[in-house]
Amino acid sequence: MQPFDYVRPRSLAEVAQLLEEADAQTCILAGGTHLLPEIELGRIRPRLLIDIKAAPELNELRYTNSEGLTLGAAIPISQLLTSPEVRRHYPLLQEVARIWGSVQVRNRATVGGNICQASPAADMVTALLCFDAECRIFGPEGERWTPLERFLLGPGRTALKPNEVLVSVRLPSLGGKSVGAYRFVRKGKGGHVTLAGVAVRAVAISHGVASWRMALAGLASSPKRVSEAEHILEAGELNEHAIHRAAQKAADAAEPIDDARASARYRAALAPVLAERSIRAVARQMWGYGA
Amino acid sequence: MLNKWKLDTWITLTFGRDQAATCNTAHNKTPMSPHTISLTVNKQAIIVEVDPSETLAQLLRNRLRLTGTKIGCEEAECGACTVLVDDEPILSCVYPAVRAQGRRVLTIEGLAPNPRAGELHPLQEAFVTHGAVQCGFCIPGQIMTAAALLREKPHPTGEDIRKALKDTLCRCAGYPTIERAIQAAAHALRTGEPVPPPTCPPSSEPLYAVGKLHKRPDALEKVTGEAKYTDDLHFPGMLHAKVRRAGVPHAIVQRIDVSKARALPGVAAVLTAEDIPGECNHGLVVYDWPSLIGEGERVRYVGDALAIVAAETPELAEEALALIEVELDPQPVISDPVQARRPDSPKLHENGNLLKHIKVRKGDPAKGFSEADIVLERTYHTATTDHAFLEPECAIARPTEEGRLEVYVGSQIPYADRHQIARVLGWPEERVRVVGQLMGGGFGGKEDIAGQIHAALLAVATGRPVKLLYDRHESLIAHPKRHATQIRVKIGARRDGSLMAVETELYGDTGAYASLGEKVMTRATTHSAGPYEVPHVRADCYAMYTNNPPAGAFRGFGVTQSAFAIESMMDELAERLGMDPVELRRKNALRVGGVTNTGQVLRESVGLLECIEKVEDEMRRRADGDPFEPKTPPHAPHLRRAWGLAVAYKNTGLGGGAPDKARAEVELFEDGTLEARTSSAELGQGLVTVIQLIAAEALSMPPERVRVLVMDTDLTPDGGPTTASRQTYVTGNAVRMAATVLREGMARTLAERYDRPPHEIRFIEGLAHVNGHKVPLGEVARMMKAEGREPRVLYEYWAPETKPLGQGGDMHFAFSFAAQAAEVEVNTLTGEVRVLTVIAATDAGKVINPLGYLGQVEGGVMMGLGNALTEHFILEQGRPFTDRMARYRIPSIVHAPEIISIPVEHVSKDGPYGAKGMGEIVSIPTTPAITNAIYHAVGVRIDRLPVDQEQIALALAARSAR
Repeated sequence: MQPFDYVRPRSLAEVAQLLEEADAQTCILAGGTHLLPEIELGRIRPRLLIDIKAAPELNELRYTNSEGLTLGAAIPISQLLTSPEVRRHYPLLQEVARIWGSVQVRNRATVGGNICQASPAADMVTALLCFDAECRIFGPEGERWTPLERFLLGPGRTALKPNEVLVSVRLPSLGGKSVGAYRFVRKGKGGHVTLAGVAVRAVAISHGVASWRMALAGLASSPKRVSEAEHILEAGELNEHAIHRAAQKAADAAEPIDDARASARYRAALAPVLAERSIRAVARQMWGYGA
Repeated sequence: MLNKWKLDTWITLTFGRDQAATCNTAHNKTPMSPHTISLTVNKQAIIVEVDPSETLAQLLRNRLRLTGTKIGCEEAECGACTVLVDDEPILSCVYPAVRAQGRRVLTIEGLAPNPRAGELHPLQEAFVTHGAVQCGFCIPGQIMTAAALLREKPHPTGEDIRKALKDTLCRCAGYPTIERAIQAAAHALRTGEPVPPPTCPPSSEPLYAVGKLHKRPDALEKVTGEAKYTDDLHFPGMLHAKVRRAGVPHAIVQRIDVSKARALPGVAAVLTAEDIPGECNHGLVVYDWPSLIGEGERVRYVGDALAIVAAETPELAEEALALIEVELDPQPVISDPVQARRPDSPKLHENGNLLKHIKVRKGDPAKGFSEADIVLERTYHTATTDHAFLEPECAIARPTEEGRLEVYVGSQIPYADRHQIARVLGWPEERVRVVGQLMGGGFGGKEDIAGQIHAALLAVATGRPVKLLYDRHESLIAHPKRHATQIRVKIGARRDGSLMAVETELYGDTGAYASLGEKVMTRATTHSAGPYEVPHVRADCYAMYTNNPPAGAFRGFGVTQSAFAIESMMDELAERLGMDPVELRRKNALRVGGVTNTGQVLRESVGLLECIEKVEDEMRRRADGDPFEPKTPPHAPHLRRAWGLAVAYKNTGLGGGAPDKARAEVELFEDGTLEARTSSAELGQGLVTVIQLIAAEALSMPPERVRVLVMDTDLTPDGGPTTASRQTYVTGNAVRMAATVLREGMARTLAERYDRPPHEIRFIEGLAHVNGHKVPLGEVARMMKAEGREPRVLYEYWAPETKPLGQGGDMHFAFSFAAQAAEVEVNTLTGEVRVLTVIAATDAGKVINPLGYLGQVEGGVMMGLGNALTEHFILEQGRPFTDRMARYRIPSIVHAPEIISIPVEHVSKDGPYGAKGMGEIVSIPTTPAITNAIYHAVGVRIDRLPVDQEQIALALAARSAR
C-alpha cells in the first residue's frame, strides 16, 4: 500500500476542523472494509485518512420516543443486531443486517460508510429509505440536514460537498409497531452484490390500515422509494388486487441497467416478484394473512 | 513486556522501515508519520511503532512473525486473515494496525489455553481428528471465526455455523467436514468431554495401516499456525519484487524505458528481456511462453511480463513499476477459439493459432448413424474458470554462498521448475535447488511457472534473496485457467437405448500460450463420448491460441468440460427414447471387457456399474416417487425440486505413451523412525498421508513413526508431476516398492544374525519377530549399519506402459469411475438454483486414506458445484472483468449441500494395495448431475456454463406467458 497519514480526531469539532484543511486526497476512514482494498488496488491514493471512529457524535446509537433512532455514521452494522431498540422498533434493519456481508465485515463496516459508498444495490440504504431517514451533515458552513433520498445522487455520488462529513442518520419514531421484509436476489446464492431487492415496511394505524413504505435496491442508479406502491397499499383493504397493483408499481418504478452480472430485463422481471413477496411477508407478520 | 525475541525483530524491522521512509522523503513523497501503539497480542503486551498504511495483518505477519494469520485477497472477501479483536472476528487485512491501540488481539497462535505446552483448543483438535484440514491455508481463519461463534453460541445449529462462516472461504471445500468438526468442538467445550471422533467410514477391507482413519501428519502445524507457506518465510536482506505487465491483450512492444525506475533510490534491479542470460521462453510441454517480452516482440495477453523490479520494500517496487515507460502498438484481439481458427485471423505464434488438432477414430460413424433410430445433436459451451486457490503465488529465490540458487515456492512439479529456471538462467540444473513449500491449494494451477523465474533472475542480478508475492489481482490475471470450450455432440442410438455412434467436435481456448493445453484438450477429446461402449466414434478437437490468459491444468483436465456435454446429451437422449436416464447409462456403461473410444480393452477395475447402482439405490430411497419428476415442496408453490444423474471416468496417470515414473526413497533410523522422500507435491490433497500409510503398511510399522519429506530437489528424488491423479498410484507404488526392498534387506540381516531363513521373519506393528525375539526396527537399522549395509533404499517405479492416441492398445494404465446424483431446488420466479443433496459414489480402487478420500469427495463436489453455478472468469476482448475475488465467486459453506459419499473399491491390480487416482474424478460428474436435475425440475436445458439463473427465469416466464 502506498503511504498516507492518519489522524484520529476525538470529536465532531476536531473532525470538522481537519476537514476544513482537507484536500482531494483526504479520505474519511470509517470501517475501512471498502476503502482499504481500494487503496490496495491503487484506485484511491489518499494522502490523509481521518478516522471517525473516536468521535462520539459519529458513534452514537440512540433511541428516544420523541426523536426516533439516531445512527452515528461510524457505528458498525453489527451494532444494529445487538440493539434492543432496533429490534423493537426497526426490525427490518436487523433483517437486512443479518444478510449484510459476513460477520467479520459487519463488525467493522459502518452505516455511514455504506451510505456514502452510494452503491445502487445497497441493501441497508434501501431499508433506511423505508424509515424516511434523514442525513445530518457537518461542514465548514455548519450543520445541515437532508433526506436520505436526496443525499444519493447515483453510483458513487452523494450530496456531500468537499470538506463535509456525514455525522449520522435519523429515523423518526414511528408511533406504532413496525414490521418489515426485504426480499432480494443475488447471483448464485451467497453472491455479494444484490441484483435486485425490495424492502417493504408497514406500521399499523388501526385494524387493517397501515402506513407503508417500499424501496428498491439494484433497480435504479440509487436505491429509491416507490411512493405509487405505498399509496396503493395505504388506500384501502390489502387484497390480492392491491398487492398485484403495488407490485406492478415497483416494476414501473424500476430503471435497471445491463451489466456483467445481470441483464436489465432480468432485473426488471424480478422487481414485481420481490415486491409481492415482501408485501406478503409484511402482511403475514402484521395480520397473519397475505401469504 | 516485550520479550527479547520480539524486541530484536522489532528493532530490525523498524530499521528496515526507516530506510524506506528515507527513500520516500528523498523522492518528495509524503513522509509517513509513525504512530506508537500499545496493544496485547495473544495476551502479551506490545508497544510498537506502526505506519498508518500498515494493516494489522502486516503487523502480525511481517513484524511480529505471527504468520499463522494468512492473506488470501486483501479485499475483505475470503476470511483467511480473520483474527479476534476484543473477542470479535475481524478481517486483519483491511484493519489498519494503528486502530489496534489499546485492543486485545487474538490470533491462531494464541488460541489454545497454553500453546507453548503443546495444548490444543478443542476446535484445533476437532479440525485435526475430523480431517477438516487439507491445504490448511484457510484453517486459521476458519478456526478463529468458529471460536468467536462458539463463544457467543455454545450450542450452534448447522444454520448458525453456515451463517458465521459464510465468507470464510475454503477452496479444498471440505465444508461438511468443517461443520462437523465445529459441532464436535462445541460439544467438547460445552461438556468438558473429549472431542468426539469422526464417523467417516474406513475402507471396506482395511489393512494394518491402509484403509483406516489416521490424522494427517501436517495437520497439527496447520491448526496451530506454525505451518510455513512461502510468504511466511523471511530471509535477511531480502528484496521484494514486482512485475510490470502488459495490461493489453495483444500488441507489439515499441519501447520499454526502465531508466527512471532504475534511478529510484531503494531499487536494486530492474530487468527486461535484454537481461536474460539464458533462454527466454519457458513452458511445460512447448517452450512458447516468454519470461519477459522485449522491444519489437509480441504481447499475447494482459499478463505478459515486460519488466521486473526488485526493491527494498514492496511499496518501493510498486513505485518503480509506475516509472517504467512503455509504448505498445495495439493489435486486433482474438478472443475466442472459433475466431482463432478463421484463416483471416492474425497469427499469434509462428506456426499459426492451432496448437493441436486432436483426433479420435473408432469404427465407422456414418454407418453407426445410419443404423441408429434416433440421432440428436447439440452444441454446448463451458466457461473459463479459475483455480482460486486461497494462497496466491509466491516465490523466493536466494543465492547461496556456494554460488547456487535456492528457490522456495509452492509448486506442483519441483523438478520441472528447476529445469525451467536453470534454462532461463543459462545454468546447469544442479546449480538450482527448488525447495517446495506447503501450498495453499493448487488444483492444477501451480504446475506452470508463476514468479519462480522472475525471482531467480532478480536474485542472480542482485546477489540477494528476492521475494515475489502475487496479490489476488495479479494471481487472477496471470496464471493459466480452465479451458473454455465449445463442444458439439452428435449422438445416435437404437430404440432400445444402445448407443450406435457419437461424433464430437471441440474447440478449446488455450489462450496465449500452450501450457498443458494439448494434453488437457486430448483428455477432453478422448473422454468426449463418455464412459460408454460406443461402436463408432469420431472426435475432432481444435486447441487454439487466443489473446486470453493461458489455459492449462485444472482438476478434471478437460474431462470436466466434455463430461458436461455428453452427460447432458445422454439425459436428452433418455427423454427422447422415453427411457429412464439411469437405465440408459447402465445399458451402455463400460464394464470389464469393454473397449474405450481409443481402442483400449478394459481388463479390470471398472466399478462404474456398481457406482451407478449404489447412487441409484440411495437416490430412490430418498426420493418421493420418481426422482426425475418435479416436486413442489409444501407451502412453496414457486419452488420445484428434482434429481439429476451423471457418470464419468477419468484416467489415472499421464498415459498416451508418456513414460510415467516416480522415484522414492525410504530410510530407517536407529530411533526406529522411517523417512520417506519424494519430490511429489503436497498441495492439500493428502499425498503425505498416503505415502505415510503406504510406507507403514509395507513395513508393518505404526504410521506415526513415518516422516514424509517432499518437494525438495536436493533432498528428495523426482516423483514426477503432481497432475493427472497420478501420485497415489505412481509415487505410492514407488514408496511401496522402496519399503518392500528395505523390508527384504532387514529380513536378510535378521536372518543372518539369528540364523533363520528370511521367510520366517515377521514384521508386526513395528517389531521384527524372529526366533521368539521381538526386535525393534531401530535395532535392525543398527545391525544393518554394523554390517555395512545402509538401511536406505531408493526405488524408481515405472508405471505400466501406455500407447499414444491413435495406436490403439492401452492409452492409460487405469481409470477411475464415478456416478453422482444431485437434488436441486429451482425458484421458478427468480431462476435461483439451490443444490440440496449430492450422492457421490467413486471407484478409487482402494480407499487408502478414508479421511482424505472424504475430503476429496466433498471438495470435488463443491468445485463441480461452483463450475455449474457460480464460477465464471469473465473476459471482455481479452481483458478480465473478474480481476478480483469479489467478482469471481467460489462456493462458500452456504452453498454446501448434504454430501453423501459412497466408496466403491474395484481394486486395480498394479495400483498400491489396489488403489488408483481419485482427486479429479470426484469433481467431474457434479456439474452435469446438477444441470440435469435443473432440467428435470423445470424443463430448461442448460447448454452453457455456468448456469445462468436469469436464463432459467426468463425461459420460464416466456413459457408461462405462452
